[in-house]
Amino acid sequence: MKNSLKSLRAGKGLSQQALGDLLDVSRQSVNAIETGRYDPSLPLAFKIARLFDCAIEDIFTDAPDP
Amino acid sequence: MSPKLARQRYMKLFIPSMILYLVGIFLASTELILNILPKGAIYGLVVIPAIGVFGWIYAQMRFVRETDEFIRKMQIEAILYGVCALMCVATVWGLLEFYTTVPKLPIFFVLPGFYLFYGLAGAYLGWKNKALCNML
Repeated sequence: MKNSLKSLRAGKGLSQQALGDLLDVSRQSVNAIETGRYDPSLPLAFKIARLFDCAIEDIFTDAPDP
Repeated sequence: MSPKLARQRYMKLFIPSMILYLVGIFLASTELILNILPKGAIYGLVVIPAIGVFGWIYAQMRFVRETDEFIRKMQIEAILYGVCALMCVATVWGLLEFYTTVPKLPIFFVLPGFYLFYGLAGAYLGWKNKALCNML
């Protein structure tokens, strides 16, 4: 699953650690989500969406590569 | 709970449990002590390291429950790799003991064996997922 978490985080000027603290997850978890190595659970995806004030599908997409 | 707090709680129980285990193993393997103690007391002495083992595995279970989902996934994978490798080795070695003259491996080595394989798997998964500090 692809996502735009990295750009959203950069837009808010947050480090991976700072975002992790806001989401109650480790910096490594933020990194794994951003790089597509880990797909978050639905509760965590909702938490991320709420933090950036947008819908889950605005951040995560299952669209295949073009 | 934050992963940092979960790790702190883990270390708080893991360290004393490990010390208890090591002290218990030392006492239970020191011949001088074993010679002084009456036979009945030896049964009590060998339970000491088991209490340590219970403590640190409980700490690990609690850490897996309390940490974040990504670290939990890696921990579960490392535990499964550890169990898998141990069971494979035990099956092969057990069969060799039945049919060949390989030396009998004491059952005591099950625990260190599991943690050896679990540690290797944890190091590999931590390196692969760039989260080594959360696995060791």
